[in-house]
Amino acid sequence: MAKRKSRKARRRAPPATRAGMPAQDSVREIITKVAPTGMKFRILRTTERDTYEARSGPRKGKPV
Amino acid sequence: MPAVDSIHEARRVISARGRRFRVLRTTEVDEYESSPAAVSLRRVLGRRAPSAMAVAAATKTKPTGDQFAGTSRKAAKLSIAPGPTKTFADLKTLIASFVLDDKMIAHKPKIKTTASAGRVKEENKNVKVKAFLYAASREDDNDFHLIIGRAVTKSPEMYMTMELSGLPPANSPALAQLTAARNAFKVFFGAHLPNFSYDFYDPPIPVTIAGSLFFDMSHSTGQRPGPPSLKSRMPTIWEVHPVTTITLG
Repeated sequence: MAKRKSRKARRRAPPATRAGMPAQDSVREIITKVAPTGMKFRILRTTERDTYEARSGPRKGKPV
Repeated sequence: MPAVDSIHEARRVISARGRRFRVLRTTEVDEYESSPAAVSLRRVLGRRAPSAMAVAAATKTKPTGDQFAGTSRKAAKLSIAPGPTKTFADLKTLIASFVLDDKMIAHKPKIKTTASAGRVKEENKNVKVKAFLYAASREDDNDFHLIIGRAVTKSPEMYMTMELSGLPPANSPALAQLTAARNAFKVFFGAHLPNFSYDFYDPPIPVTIAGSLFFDMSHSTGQRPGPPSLKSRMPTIWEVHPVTTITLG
């Protein structure tokens, strides 16, 4: 019988796929947040940026 | 499965043994692939697995301040359109109400991207919609980019950009309203405001959002705004910009 994943491993599992999720390999951090309204949600911090921002650092001479 | 945005062709295939399957041809290449074609492809797509450099770029010094620090169409971005607000029940209906992008790009007179370029007639509208916040980032002009979409249960998937502007000068008539909207966003996220790279929200956050229409002429050519994972479902470069009211959660 397959060994069941530990609770810690399950918590670290990448987010399930649904519409509007980022590419899994772009997620660098997951934070659980409770908003002042009481809503609980996860923040998936990614490396995704606007493609015109692809180079790191503030742009010079590019319209924003 | 591959990222939806990486698929450029899907073919149905029947094997010699009669098994049916689909071949999804993608633009994904191994990170170590160094052929000129692969390097060029990665450069064009701006997509790669998180490398140390990508993570470093995403976590670079947090932006500070609230003042608008951009120049492109500054006058339009920091002004609120005159007139009443039209309410839309669905983002799809809102997007369908926009003048086609191609028509706006060919607009006469041409929409300029200089700092003093104000709103054109088609942008002089205020709208309000109930939708969901899927992702957000902060640009170096201090605008927050919000990626607003339909409910996850609705088809087709559809997103557009709405922006909380950096703040205008103290003598601007829009200052109070733009400050209130920005503060509402900041209070909701507290210490977890987005930075230069996109934060995604799971589940997406219900939002009632209003603001003035804005056509993003500065990105009418070249790469369009939006996170790579969602961009293919962002059918327009129309924006709500600036956001004038926002209620989250």
